Amino acid sequence: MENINFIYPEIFIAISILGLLMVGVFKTNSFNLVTKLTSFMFLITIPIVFLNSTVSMKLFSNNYIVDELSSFLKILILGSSAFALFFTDQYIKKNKLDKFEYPVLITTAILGMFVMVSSNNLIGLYLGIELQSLSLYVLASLNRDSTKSTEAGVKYFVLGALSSGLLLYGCSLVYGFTGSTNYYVIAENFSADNIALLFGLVFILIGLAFKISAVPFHMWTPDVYEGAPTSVTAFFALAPKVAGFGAIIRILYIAFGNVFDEWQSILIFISVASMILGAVAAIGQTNIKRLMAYSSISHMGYGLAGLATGINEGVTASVIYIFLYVVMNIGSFACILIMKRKDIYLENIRDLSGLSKNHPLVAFCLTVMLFSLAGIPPLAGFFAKFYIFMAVVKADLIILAVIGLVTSVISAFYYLRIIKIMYFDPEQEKFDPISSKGVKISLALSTLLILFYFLNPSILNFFVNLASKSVQ
Amino acid sequence: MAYLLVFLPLVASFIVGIFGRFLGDKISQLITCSFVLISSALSIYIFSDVAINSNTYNLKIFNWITSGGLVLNWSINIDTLTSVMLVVVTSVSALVHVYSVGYMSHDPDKPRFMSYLSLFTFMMLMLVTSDNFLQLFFGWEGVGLASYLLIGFWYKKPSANSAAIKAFVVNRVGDFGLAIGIFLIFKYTGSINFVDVFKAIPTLLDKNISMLGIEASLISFICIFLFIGAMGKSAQIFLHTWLPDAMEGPTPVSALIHAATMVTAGVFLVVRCSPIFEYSPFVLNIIVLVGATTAFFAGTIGLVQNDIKRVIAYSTCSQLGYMFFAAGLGAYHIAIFHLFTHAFFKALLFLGAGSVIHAFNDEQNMRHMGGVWKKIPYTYSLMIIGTLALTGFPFLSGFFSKDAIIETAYSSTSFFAGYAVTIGVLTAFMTSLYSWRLIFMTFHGTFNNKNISLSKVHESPAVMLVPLLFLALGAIFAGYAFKDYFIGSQFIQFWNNSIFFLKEFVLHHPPLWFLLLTPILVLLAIPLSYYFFVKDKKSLDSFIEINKPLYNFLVNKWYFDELYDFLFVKPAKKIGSFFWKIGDGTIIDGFGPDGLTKLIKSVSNKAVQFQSGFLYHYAFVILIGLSILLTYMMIF
Amino acid sequence: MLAHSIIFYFFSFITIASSLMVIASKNTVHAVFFLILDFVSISSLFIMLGAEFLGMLTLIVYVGAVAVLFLFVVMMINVNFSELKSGFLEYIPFGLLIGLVILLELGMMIATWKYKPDFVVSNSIVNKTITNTESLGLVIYTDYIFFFQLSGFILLVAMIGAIVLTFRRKESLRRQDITTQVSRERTDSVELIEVKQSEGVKIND
Repeated sequence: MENINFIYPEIFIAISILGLLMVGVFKTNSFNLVTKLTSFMFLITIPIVFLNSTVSMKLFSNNYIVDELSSFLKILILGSSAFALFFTDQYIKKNKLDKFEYPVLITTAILGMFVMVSSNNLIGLYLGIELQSLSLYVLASLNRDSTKSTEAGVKYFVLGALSSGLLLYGCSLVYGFTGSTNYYVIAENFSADNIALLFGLVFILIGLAFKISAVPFHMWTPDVYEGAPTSVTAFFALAPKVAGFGAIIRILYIAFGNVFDEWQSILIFISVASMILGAVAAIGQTNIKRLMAYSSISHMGYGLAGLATGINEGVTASVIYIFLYVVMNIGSFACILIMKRKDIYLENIRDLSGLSKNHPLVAFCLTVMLFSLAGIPPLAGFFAKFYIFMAVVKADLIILAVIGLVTSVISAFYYLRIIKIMYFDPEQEKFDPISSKGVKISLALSTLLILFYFLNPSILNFFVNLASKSVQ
Repeated sequence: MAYLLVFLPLVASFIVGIFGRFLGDKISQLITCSFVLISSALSIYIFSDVAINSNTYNLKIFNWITSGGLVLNWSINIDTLTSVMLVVVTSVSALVHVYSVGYMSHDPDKPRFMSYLSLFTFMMLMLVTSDNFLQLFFGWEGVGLASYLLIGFWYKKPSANSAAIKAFVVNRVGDFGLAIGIFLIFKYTGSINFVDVFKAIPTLLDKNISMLGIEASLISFICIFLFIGAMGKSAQIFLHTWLPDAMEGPTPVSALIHAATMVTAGVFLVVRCSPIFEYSPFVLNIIVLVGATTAFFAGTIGLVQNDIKRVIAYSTCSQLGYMFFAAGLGAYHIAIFHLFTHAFFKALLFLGAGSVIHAFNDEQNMRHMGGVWKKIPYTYSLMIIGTLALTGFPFLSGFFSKDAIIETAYSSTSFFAGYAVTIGVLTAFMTSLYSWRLIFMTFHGTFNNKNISLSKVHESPAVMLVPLLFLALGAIFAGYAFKDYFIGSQFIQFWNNSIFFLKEFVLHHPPLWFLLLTPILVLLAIPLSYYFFVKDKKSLDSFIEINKPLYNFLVNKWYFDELYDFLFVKPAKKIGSFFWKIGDGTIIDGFGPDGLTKLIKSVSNKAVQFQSGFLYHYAFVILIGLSILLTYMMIF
Repeated sequence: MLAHSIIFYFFSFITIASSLMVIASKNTVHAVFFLILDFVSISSLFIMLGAEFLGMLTLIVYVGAVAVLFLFVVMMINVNFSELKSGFLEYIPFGLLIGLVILLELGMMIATWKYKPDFVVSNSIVNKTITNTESLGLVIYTDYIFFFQLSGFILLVAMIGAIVLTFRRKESLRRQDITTQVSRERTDSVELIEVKQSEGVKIND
């Protein structure tokens, strides 16, 4: 009990969920109030997490770990979720999603993600994933009067259940052959000769790959991204990816750290497939949310490439990548939420045509985001890719680096296409004036960070270095 | 305080650049002028602190890059050399800012102009306060960018645009050299912080490397590449062609960038890197050769140009040549002294020329001027002061610095010393000749302008004249007041190790006849040019008639532009169009991008078709993925 | 020991067969019945392992609550499964192939099965000296408190999700609100007005 302060963040969130529910139930039309309280709660939680960020502590008989990596990722999760809640307020109200359960479900999802990144036990991992996923399923179909939204929810739910099944199957195999669900014990007893254990590894990896929508377990992503309300899609693109990455890093580098050779090739396969499919399939898209789905698939590929190196630099590069990916997506989704004419939110890429004449500043910000997503120097996205490729080359995976370079060139094509549409195509009617402060602030902040990251990359790198050392 | 000094111009530039339209012209000008004035006041304080009290500062702004062995900071490094540059940069910049308020009063884009000027100032400060090569390079490129923006400020004028592009491209050649120099330094010393590099250099003396089939000592290679960078920025012969064209920009820009500050960055680089250059006598000789040749060559062209700003531009080029050969002879402090005095009188001349141009309603051709000295007496007298200082009239600032250079050349034992001293004296004479020619053609003789009547020629407003006055004070007294510190008896403690001398620097005093030679020649040139350009133009014309080929050679600037056009521009265009039409269009596009894009598009369509929307398809794909991975796991 | 084995295989067979029938039977009500059978045999297997608490729990929760709920739902909504199954045939060959590959690989896994040396020892995980419920209670609030609470949260989310997705507040419906009903006073609804002669009252509605 003397270590209980290390899970104060989780306890605080859990109690807040109950409190928020109470407020929501006993007060009618309490969406605004609950949202404000939730944001406030996020703001309080960040420093609480930060307080523990420099220690490495094992709790609940080694089944739960609070260390630099988990703290970094938790702060990232909280921050990105806060943004996802912050810049979508108007969208939520406009589309009548303003039920108080919305922020509560986001909070429960966050609790699940916290467990995912901190858990050192297969049971904890599974429970975390389920807590997160259940909340996400409900969020996806929150707009229950829209067929698209409910379809997205059902698809996500069914496929998620399938992947959870695979994950559980893998867990039971690993448990059966190592005698424990604790990562440390698994690592001790794991022998690469036992094919059943390797199968268990594959099953678990697939379950996790599904959560971060890596190819070939990505199929739900475009449909769900498109179908779910944009505010929810924005959330999907941010925090769950961070949590999924955290879980993957922890399980691969701690539980399966001894059999690096076995899972490296699987990770390379998934990473290459994601990079290629993400780059190629996005070209034909007309819906910007679908495009972002493919974009996130390809970015997950790059992130996994860093993990496939098995060296410290690779993990560092991946964590940096995921951080900058989150920032870029905050900016991009803020731009998508600006696309509104006559009070109707638009999703077609064509609707952006001539944006540079009507809204030069927005066009500029979106251009920065897209250039950065494409990895063009000196924007932050370039550095993100650069670190990944450096690590990959250092690990002698030259072919992986080459494929990554080629796909990043291909993906530049569709990013540039949007820029071309914004700048060179005939202008259309203006968008509605941006009235949401959240959108403005998020867009400004993310643009500044992406633009000026190159001035001092070492601040972020310093924290990430600390974080990634904790799994070595 | 140093932070304030460096960042005030940046802040001003940002505020005015972004909000200029909302703030309006007056407030924009007020903000930029006052910020830069504050920073110039600070620079004087820092100068007195650093130079007189012999302090040095190294203030870290923040850590920039930490990558492997490469640790770099954004920092402000202030030693005597930097503090001298700070004074030059900020004070000239402040005066130019104020002057611009008057000069640009008819321009619609005042905030943009002021913002660029401040941005330039900041970049120049970054350059001079750097403690490593990369930040220096950042400032180097930054001033290049600001110069590009300012030369092309009147972007609707095609000549301004092409001049801006020319400046940028020619500078790239130099920058390329500088970049290679920096790479070499990093490769062999493992660092690009000045302190570490300078410490490591003496250990690399015996190292030879081979590049492009030439084997030579590493130090020489580094120096030659650094010097190429310096040549580009400082418009030395072969890379000088952009400077005269850059006169297309507004005159305050010419005064600030192309006379006082940016073009002297090359000299600054050489002096800053004196701990490297000192170990390569070979490259020092080349610097003497190039500098002296530039001084002479630019002087000859200056004799025959008719555009008032171009004359001054060539004069700048020529004076830069002086600075370089002084540096090449090992007299770095004298080079910087000349840089210091030159900044004042050349800025004065440029701004004075701007005032004249203003008076003639934007007329730059000297043949269309003349006979107005009574109409614009202030400008006239200030220009005279500038000219006297430039030509080295005794006891004005140019006299001390330029004669010190010539004396150094006389007493030096360097290989090209004889060449340098001849050229030095000759060029001093020519300088006087063309400077007075400028004065006489502009202010004396008959009024030759057809577009504007004599009565309409008007004196400039006070806001333009006051900066001129300050510069004139500098032009008169800067030499006398600072000569003891910069080059006189106290120079060693003044520079306080910011300049490195391998051997102790000694100046032998030349015989009296030599000391008198230059001033006499300079004085002789005044009546000579009065005779030729005012009194008896016929004799001049006949003189030109006799020496027609030489005259044409000079008027066409030694045919450098034509030569480059023939050697580089046309072949490059031809090669370019060959590659574009045949190489790129048919071969590469056909098989490469076009073919590839088609392939990718068809693959993309396939991938999208796969996304059928049916749940069981999706589940199926997951299972297929599972079976593939399992099979893989089992087989390998 | 033999009887033990016979009963074990008997229930195992029923478990597998009935779960096959759940997905194979045409009539949905039949499928739910097979599901119930499945649960029952599973709980029997639990009891055979000595985990009678889990067995009973399965019986109560899954058979008593979940499956019966299923039954109600299936009977209330009329789903035509044969329609859903159209087009099923064209996927059979490929599906079979994939299924076969996975099955073979899992078979390989069983074939190369290697037991831990102390596997037999770990067989007796059930402590015979204390009751099942007690031994669960001993760990569930101590060692596994974290996971236990987390599971609670999952259930909470499931509940919230079910409510938020299905619950609709009908505007036309008038609900009884006891507080307003009780706190209602005479002055709220009745107003006494002095009526002046030959003027009448103006009624505000």
